[in-house]
Amino acid sequence: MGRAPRYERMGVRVRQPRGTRFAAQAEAVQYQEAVSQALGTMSDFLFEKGAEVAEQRGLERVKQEGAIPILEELQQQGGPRTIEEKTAYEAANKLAVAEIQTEAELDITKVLDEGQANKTSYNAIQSKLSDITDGYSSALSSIDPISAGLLRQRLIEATGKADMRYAKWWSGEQETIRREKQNVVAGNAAQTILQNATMPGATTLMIDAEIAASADTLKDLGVDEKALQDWQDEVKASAYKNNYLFSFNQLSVEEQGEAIERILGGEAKDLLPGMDYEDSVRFVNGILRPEYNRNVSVLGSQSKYVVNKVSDQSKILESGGRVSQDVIQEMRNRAIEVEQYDGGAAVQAVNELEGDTNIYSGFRAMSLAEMEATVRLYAEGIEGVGIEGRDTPLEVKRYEQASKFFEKMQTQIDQDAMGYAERVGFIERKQIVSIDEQGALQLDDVALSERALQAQQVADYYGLPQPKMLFADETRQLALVLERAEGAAKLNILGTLSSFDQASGQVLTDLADYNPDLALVGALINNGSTETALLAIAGLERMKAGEKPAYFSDQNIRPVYEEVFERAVTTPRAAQAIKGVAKAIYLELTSRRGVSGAVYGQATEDLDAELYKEALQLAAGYRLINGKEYGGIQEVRGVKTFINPNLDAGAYERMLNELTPEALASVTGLDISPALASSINETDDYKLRNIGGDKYVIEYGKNGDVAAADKEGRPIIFNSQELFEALIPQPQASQDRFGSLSSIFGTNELPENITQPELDFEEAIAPEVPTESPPLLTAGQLPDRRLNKKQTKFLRKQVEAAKIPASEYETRIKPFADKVPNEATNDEFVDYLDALFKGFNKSFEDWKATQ
Amino acid sequence: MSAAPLFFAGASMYLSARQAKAQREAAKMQAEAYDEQAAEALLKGRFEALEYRQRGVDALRRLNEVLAASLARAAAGGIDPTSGSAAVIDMASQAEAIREKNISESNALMAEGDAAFQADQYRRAGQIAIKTGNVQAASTVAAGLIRVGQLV
Repeated sequence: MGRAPRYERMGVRVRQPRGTRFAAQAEAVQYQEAVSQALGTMSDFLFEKGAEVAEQRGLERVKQEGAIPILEELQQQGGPRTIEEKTAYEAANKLAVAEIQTEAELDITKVLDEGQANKTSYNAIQSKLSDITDGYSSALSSIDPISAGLLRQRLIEATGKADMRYAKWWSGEQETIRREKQNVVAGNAAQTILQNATMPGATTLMIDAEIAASADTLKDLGVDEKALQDWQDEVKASAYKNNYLFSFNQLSVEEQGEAIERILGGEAKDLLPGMDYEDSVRFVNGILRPEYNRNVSVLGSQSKYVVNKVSDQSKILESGGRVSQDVIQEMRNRAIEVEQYDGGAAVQAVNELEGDTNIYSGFRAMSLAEMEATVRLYAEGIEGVGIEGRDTPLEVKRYEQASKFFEKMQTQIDQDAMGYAERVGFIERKQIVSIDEQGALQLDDVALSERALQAQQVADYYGLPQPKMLFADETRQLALVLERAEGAAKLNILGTLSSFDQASGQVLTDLADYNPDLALVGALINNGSTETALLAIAGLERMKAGEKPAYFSDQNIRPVYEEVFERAVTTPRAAQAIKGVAKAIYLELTSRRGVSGAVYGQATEDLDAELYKEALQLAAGYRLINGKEYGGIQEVRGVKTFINPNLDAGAYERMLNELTPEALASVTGLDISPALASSINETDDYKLRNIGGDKYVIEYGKNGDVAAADKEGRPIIFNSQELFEALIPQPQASQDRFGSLSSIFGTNELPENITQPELDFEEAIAPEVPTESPPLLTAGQLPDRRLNKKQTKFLRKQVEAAKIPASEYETRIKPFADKVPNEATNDEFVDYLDALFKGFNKSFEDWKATQ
Repeated sequence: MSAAPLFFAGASMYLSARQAKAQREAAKMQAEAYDEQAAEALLKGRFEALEYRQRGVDALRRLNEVLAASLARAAAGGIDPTSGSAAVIDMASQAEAIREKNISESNALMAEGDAAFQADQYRRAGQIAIKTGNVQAASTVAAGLIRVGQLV
């Protein structure tokens, strides 16, 4: 029987779990690691930054609190804990070490420097260095032990080195002191020996003994043998030489020469002590011969000195100077000293100078004419010397001396006649003008009159065309003072000059050499043209301040000048001065009037020609008195002629029309024929021309081609004022002062040459010539002031009584009156003016102080 | 400030940014790989479940064949297949086959469960990989900034 079918198992089994890959967990782990790493990085970074900040704070703390305090603080808390504290501790340690070390080194250096400066002993320095080491070591307690140990070691090392350095210096110093002592003793001994060697009576034996004694002393001082021997040799050689040189210098120059020859002869007895022949020759060539040559040279120089000084003195004599007897005696003494060496040349020169002094003494006393005659005399030789003519040296010399003296005399008189006269003793100088504290000129009237007399004497004696009042240096100073003075002061000075009276012309003539413009202004003041002078001064001040007249070109002014003057002014200097003053006047007038070319000129932008003509006329001395024109440029017989400021054109017409041989001869000495006089009277072809100063020449022809001449052919030149007075004796517009406009740029006659004729007023006074004095001050010219009736009346009365010239008021009184302050009462004003009228010459304040 | 530090700071920051970007890209690619692995795991699970179910079916088919043979034999032998030993034997066969079929079904379910779990693991791993990449990138950028900060 078969087996029943049965189900056979397929072998299905329960599934076993498969291995799962836990990727999510793995990724999660990785993620956490990544997060961890990132956070770690951040954390590290933050820590590093925090540490850095902490370190920085630590360093800052050290910086702020200082190393030692921090170290002490940390030590108290038991050491550093935080990063900040650790950093601060490390930094403070380093800093403290460096500080302490530096401080200690500085102290060491200071101790050494002070020790060297004070030469402190080595032991004392050692002690101080030890103190430094100990002192700084005690300061190391706060520092960490390692740094403290290192620092202590360094301090010991530094003080050790310093100790060695000082020891070396100290021993060197001791050695130096010892040597210095030896040198001082050796030097003193040598000096004493050398000095004794040059004493009279010193011998080589004495020298040897002194050297031996000094050598013993030096030996005791520790000088070594070799140095001692060298010292002895040197001192001995020098002492012997000095000893011989002393003896040599006691000899005369000849004996010195002989001694040198003897030494060079080479004999043993003649050689120098302590020297062989070679050394002796060397000594002779090195010392003795130069000494001998110098002595010879000194004698020659002294002789030359005397001869040269004689030559200098001779030049002084030639220039009019003098030689004092003291100088001659001194030169004679020097000449005698060298007489036997220069063959008597110096003595002869002094003798000649003495002779020349006498000759020149005679020259100095001579006038120019006498000197000229003397030159001529010497040109023919000296009588009794040689044969006839200049055939001996003495004659030639005297002629040359006289010629040179005459030449220089002329030059010096031309340049400064008064100065020359003073130098030769002809006059004695006295100060005539001084400048007071206010810069005003003060005149010494006595000295002035004496000076005028001296000037006349000098002019007479030396034949000057006109006297010179001032010395050259005085004129220069005056010109300088005028140049620097301000307007009012300038006017005051010029006003003072006008008070020189007759001498003022001479002064202004002198001044014209230096400042022609101001000299001309001074002349205007002298002539009474005060207003014109004021205008000129004001204009000059404006020019000094840099102002210039408009359109005032040479091209513009030349035609105007030529039209006004034509050939009236012939001297360039006078023309230049007139132009200069006219320019100043023109500038002042245009400034005051505010006019321009629009008034008189051709166009608005042009020179004001009419105004310039007016200025030229004013500068030339033009004045209008009582409707009559005086001075300036006026026509005489149809020709523009320069007119003396005291005369008018009519006066010149009359001079020509009424000229007589007698009148001309009386003022000039010229002898003309009556026929010529008659021709001059009747023919208008005879004209006048000013040739400088107040001098005029009579010319024939419209252009003045020929000068009229006297019988001897001399041109007819005359002084217009004199001729006018000779022809028509009558009073003048004002007294001619020698400072007149006509006189300062030319020659003028001397005061005593002017003969004032007897006046017969009734028949002599011509109607056109003013007879009154210069215009007087009137009450209307006084400054405006609201005075009451009584005050006005009183003032008018005082003005009338004072009779003060208007010009004086303008120059002297008005400047003071204008400066009276407004606060002054009318009574004070009136009283002050009254005082001024009576001669008071100071400011209102000064016057008030006297009340 | 001179130009050199600025240049180096700029260059450093640029490279850090590039590095961060690369890290993020790498994380993204890693996540994609995980997604594919998840899909593959699911697929494998289904195949395995299918195989298990096939075996269950095979057990039932074999049971059917056994029961048919038993029936035929009984019939041939004249035996009542629904009673007696035949019936007992058939019942035993049925029990065995059904047991195997049930085991297969359980295995299939287990295979599907495992696959689903594995796929879920992969998906979660991919998500975490992206987060990791972001963290790394952020860390790289932060480190770059720190370096820049030290330069300028």
